[in-house]
Amino acid sequence: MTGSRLASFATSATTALVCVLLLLPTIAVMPLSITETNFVTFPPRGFSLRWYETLFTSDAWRGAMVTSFITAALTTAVATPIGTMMALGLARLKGRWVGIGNVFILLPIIVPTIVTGVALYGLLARLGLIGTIPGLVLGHSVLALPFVVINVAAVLQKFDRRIEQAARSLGASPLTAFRLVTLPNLLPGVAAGALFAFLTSFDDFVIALFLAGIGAVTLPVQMWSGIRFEISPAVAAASTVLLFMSCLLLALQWWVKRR
Amino acid sequence: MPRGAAIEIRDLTKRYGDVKAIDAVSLTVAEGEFVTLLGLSGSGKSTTLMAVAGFVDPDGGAIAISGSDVTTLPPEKRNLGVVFQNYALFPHLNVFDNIAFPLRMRRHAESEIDTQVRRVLDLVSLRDLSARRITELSGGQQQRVALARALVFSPPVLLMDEPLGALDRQLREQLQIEIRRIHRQLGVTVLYVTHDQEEALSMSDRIAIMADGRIQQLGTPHEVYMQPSNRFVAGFFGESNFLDVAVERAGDNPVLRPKGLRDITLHAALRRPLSGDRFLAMVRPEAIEIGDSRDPAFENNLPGTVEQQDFLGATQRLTVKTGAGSVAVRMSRLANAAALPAGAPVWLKWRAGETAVFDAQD
Ligand SMILES: Nc1ncnc2c1ncn2[C@@H]1O[C@H](COP(=O)(O)OP(=O)(O)O)[C@@H](O)[C@H]1O
Ligand SMILES: [Mg+2]
Repeated sequence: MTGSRLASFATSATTALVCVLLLLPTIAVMPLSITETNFVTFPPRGFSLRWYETLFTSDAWRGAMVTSFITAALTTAVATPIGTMMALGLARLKGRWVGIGNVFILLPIIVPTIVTGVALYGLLARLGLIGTIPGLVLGHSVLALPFVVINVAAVLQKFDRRIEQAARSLGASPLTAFRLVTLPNLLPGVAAGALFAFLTSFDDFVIALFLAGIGAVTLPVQMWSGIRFEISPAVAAASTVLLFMSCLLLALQWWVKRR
Repeated sequence: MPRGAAIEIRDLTKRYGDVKAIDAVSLTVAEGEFVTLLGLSGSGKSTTLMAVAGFVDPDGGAIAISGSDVTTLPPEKRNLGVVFQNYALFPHLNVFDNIAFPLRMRRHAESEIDTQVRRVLDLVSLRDLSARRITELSGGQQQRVALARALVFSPPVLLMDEPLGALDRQLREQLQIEIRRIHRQLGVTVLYVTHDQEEALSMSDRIAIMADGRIQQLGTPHEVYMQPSNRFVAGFFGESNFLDVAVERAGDNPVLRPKGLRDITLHAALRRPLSGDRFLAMVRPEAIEIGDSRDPAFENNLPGTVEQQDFLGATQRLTVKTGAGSVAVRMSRLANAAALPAGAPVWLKWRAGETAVFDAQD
């Protein structure tokens, strides 16, 4: 009895320790952002929100945040419908095409992001889309698509195709049946996929580094520049904002899935 | 009162790869008739039904409703009520909106929709549940909503695929009676699918027994039970005794000679001519009576000795060893089985009309 209780305690303790170790560096960033000093110190000296003020007033930081939001919103708008359609198509594959289709859809996750970045750079440079929001949106959509497909496919798997047939038998055309019956039932998956798409774009650094140029600098890219030239506490403030956004979206996603 | 429409299925064939799901199925259902497709899982019942509904595109054959060909018509243009296996209700809509769906598709006025939905809710005894969510309903209630939804637009034909398969026995029997009542009340033509033989026998005007994608026999419940056309059909409905026989004199009243018995002949009432050497005579256990001597009032008399007795509740089964093999006899619980201990000599007797004969090959 005591032996097994000890084992269970040890397991819990180990899990807790690993969690702390995983979270610590992330959480440690937060106090750095409230320092009064012009440089990063640990522990922070004094308490001030001036670096958050910088974030929202300096052209570079505010511009980066706006670019990030617009890019993430547009990526969501592009990737969600396309990913939903891909999931619907994937569900209709039969036999060995199922495996091939699945691997193909997951490719953007499997291929190292930096390879995708290089490839996209080559392509978009030729199209003159480097340093533009449309270019970023295209790149981020590639990254975000698999997440939409996975989320919609998960709901689709539990979806009884016969209710679509029921709608047809009751007089609905294929399109009406999709609009009035299929789509409303896939909505939780589509919403979760959309949140993931937003998050993927908002968090991305590698692709953005290739495609941002000087015209479409996103928050992570701006943070990177912030570290390279001067280690400003504004970077810590930006990190905190980014972290907060991620947590918010994940919580939202969890809430959508539970309903 | 809406009248049912006739369904005509001609030489319907559907292949999935190398598998023939259905193979030249032909069946005519008269206006207002209740016909059941009965068979084991995989015998092609759903494929046939879904071809009529328009969800299976046949490789060959034709389907006509009310005399007009619908073989290539999309499902939404066929105007048929369909009740699916596991109901296929819309989980995001409440009871009222589920049932109103076909009327909205037909662009009825909301006031008319309200009247019609209330009418069918009454029909299936669900008056008070119109605002409920589907997930808040019991299996039996979901089944009633599915039925109401398939009937609300007064289709001339109702197709049902194992509608009671997911329910427990008591509820199933209750709904069987209700479906029969609704059928009579509305006069709608029903094509019904089940694998439950009792359900088929109690509900149907006629039964089509399916196996391997083909209709094995089509007839009234009495016909398929009393005069099965082959061993498969006979075996489908409860217990049966098979005796190897040779047909000695063909014709309307054939004389059958059981293999291994010299001085016994059996008699069957038969409507089909027989030819060939190896036949099976079939008699149901409950059709046999027990006596202590040959009884000239019965066309068939067979001597044997009691082998075993089993108490089954409402009935008791006697296993009797005869020269033609073991024969099971079902007696009422009230029959005096104590007088028939193992080893007792008995005579089995039954009517010619209770004997079916078919080719042993079939
Ligand atoms: N969509 C399908 N794809 C491949 N095979 C199928 C399909 N539908 C039915 N079948 C096959 O056709 C046969 C008949 O099936 P079905 O009509 O569903 O039988 P039942 O309803 O009597 O159980 C079975 O062997 C089944 O495996
Ligand atoms: Mg079936």
